Amino acid sequence: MADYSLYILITYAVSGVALVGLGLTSYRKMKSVEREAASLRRRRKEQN
Amino acid sequence: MHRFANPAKFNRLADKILPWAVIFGAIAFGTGLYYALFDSPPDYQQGESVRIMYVHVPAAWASMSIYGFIAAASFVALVWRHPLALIAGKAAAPIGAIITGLALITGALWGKPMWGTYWQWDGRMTSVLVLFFLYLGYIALWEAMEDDEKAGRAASILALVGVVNLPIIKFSVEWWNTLHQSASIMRSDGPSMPAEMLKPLFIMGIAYQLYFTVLVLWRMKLEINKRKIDVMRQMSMQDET
Repeated sequence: MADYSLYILITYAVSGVALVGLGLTSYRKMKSVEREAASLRRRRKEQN
Repeated sequence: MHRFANPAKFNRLADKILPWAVIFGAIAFGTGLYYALFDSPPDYQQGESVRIMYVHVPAAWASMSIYGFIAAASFVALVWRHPLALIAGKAAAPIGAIITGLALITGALWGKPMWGTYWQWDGRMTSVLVLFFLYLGYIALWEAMEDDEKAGRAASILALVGVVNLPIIKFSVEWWNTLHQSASIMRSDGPSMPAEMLKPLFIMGIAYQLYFTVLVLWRMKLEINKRKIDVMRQMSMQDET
């Protein structure tokens, strides 16, 4: 049987990088926009 | 359904679901990867390369189910004008595009050692490529217009028209002579795969669905907060003038 380990390795590496990358990017964006919204809300409350 | 049209209610519900989805998703990925890489047997014909199936097939399933989710959200947005439905569709599209891209890439990487080619313009592969372009078109429509309402409506119409591609993907291997293998799970005579292979496949399938659940909730929260920021900025500008 031929050795397919390189194909398996690339498949799992590409999937892992894409899924983890998208997950981290989405989480970071969500958190930074959440913080920005909270600080704007605080600022508006202070102004009023 | 309109109970959850309120973003505050949605955020509370999402915050309840998210920790559980993250925990169960991590467990499902860990268990699925263990079975896929170490516990499942090699195939009698494909040898070790069958392990590619445990990431390729769940990605292909997710690519179709996410599109179904976007189409359902688009329908709800167009018919009932549910405000969160548009946000749900917009949030899901990049996840669907990346997972469909993964299904295509992992399929090509499985095809090369098995068929001797990365790509063939056969029914299954071409219809999944069309699905990928539908995702890109949906995202492009959202980005092309400044008015979110108009952009959302145009993208929703595209999503609904594109639904016709889902049964084409499913039945392409029956309708045409394809290089891609025919159905091996959803068959009238039962799955043509041993339980040792079905177990990691289903666990990875669940892991991909949980991954989508977590990401779509994060991205919906992101969109809701972006809109809140826009509203607050507009209010601040009005206060100044």
